[in-house]
Amino acid sequence: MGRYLLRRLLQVPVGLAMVGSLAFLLIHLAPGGPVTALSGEYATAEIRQEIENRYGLDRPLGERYLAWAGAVLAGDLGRSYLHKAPVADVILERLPATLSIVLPAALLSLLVGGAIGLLSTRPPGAQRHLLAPMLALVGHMMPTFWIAQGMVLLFALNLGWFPVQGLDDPRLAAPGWSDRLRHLVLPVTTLVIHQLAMMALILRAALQAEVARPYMTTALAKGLGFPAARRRHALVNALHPVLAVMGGRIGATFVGAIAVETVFALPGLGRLIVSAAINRDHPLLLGIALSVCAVAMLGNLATDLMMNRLDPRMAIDRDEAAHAA
Amino acid sequence: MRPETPLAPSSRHAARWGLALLAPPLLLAVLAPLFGKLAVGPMLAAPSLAHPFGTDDLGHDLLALLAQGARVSFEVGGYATALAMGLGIALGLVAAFGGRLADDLVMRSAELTVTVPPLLLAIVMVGLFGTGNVLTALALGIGSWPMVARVVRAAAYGLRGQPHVTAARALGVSRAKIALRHVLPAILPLALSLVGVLFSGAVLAEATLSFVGLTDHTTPGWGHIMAHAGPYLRDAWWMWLFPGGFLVMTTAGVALVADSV
Repeated sequence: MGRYLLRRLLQVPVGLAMVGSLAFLLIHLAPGGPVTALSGEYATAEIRQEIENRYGLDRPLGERYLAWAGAVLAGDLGRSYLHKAPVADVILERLPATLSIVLPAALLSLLVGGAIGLLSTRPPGAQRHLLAPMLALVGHMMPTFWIAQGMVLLFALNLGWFPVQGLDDPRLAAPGWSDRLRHLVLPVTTLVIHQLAMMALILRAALQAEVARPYMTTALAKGLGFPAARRRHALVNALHPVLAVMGGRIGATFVGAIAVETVFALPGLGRLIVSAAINRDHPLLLGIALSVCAVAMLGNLATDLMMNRLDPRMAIDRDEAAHAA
Repeated sequence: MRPETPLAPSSRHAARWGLALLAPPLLLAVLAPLFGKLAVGPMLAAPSLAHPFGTDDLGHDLLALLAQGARVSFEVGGYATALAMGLGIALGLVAAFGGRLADDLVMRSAELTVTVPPLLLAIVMVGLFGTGNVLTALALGIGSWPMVARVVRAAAYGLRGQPHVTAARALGVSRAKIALRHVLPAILPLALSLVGVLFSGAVLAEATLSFVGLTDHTTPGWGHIMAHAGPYLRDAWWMWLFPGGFLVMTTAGVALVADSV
């Protein structure tokens, strides 16, 4: 366990260093680049020179890499060309909007999806329904922006229950909590519809395998009802894959919010990275990519540790697997 | 190894349902040249005989746009899936048969790749090298090979002790030949069952990119049409309904068909 923990902890900084170095190399090999983006295609040589000078783009690649790596280690992700501000500040300013839709959506889809998965698990040998998984599949295969636009069409434009876009009503003198919540309902629901089905299906698949095992027979034999046995005995054992999938999808969840933020015009990270890509704001692009990877890696680490607590055999299995080859 | 997501229900009807869903978008892509050029007609016209799917805000016939979008979706999805499959199978076999160092190298790169969501990789690539369907497919394929490699490696490990593999080794067959001749055919069906997840993932990612404007505007995808639908949602429901409908038919159809192979 100790060895495993150490190896796992070391993987995060090493992984980040590799992703960062790759990204840096890619950015500086890319054609066109920030100078053209900033100065336009018809800028004079002096203007281009001036821009290269200001951002240190005229120095050799190795020197720039060392400078960049040193700065990143000190917590400085560079300056955004477009926003004319430190990348970290720009990211932190946009983070709350993204978190305020991503976190509630993750929590809700885990709770509701988990409940659906739990309640739809049938005793082994019982007839299984095809309709629910079919609906869930279609739910997961719909692009989030399509769901989002459908929501806007129905609940905002036709019924008028919720605002069409934004985080606050600009006509209010002081934006309050209730107004903010009203603005968050549709984007969060969109993300939940997208994620719910997967949660429910994964949990159900795991539970369906668990309820066929001998300990369930024992539980039923000693008189426990099927629902109680399912919840008390099978659920804990079936949580593994759910945790694994959730942990593995943290990065994807952030990126998945892009289209939803676009539809609802939310000032979040997703729209920021799109504008960074369109405007070739390389420091910002690299900064967001690195941050998302860092969060994803830490999330993976956290889920792995959690899974080890649930089932200590995992670490031993992995240590052995690493040495068996 | 992380368990793969059991998205599609297993049933012998699933394949038929999948094919039925997949047929219309596939037909649209194949017959795209028949639906003509992007002629400009009346703006925001409702579906009629002349324009079965209506027209968009610029007066383009939606049928022609949808057909073009179908081509983009199938191309990007196909290339990305083929790339992820090829890379994943090759690297998975190398990990299983190439010795400890190769195994470590492949699996650590897989862990690293997994932390970068394919869509994020594609966005970064667009920001660096500009838009393009081939580039998008490349990024999406590179971003999703680990899933295949892990499944292939695990299955290949399981086969190493099988009698036919032991027999081949006893006869002095080289490791590369064992991997290709004796193990690959046995694990191919398992690897191919991932086609559904890969393809629908790539199609969805392409649609998202094209929705936020990070694809080539000269070959608009389905996402691009839906982005244009935004301001006219109330008046032109067809601009929202049809591209999304075809997209869901494609992704769900492929998932169902691949699952029952």
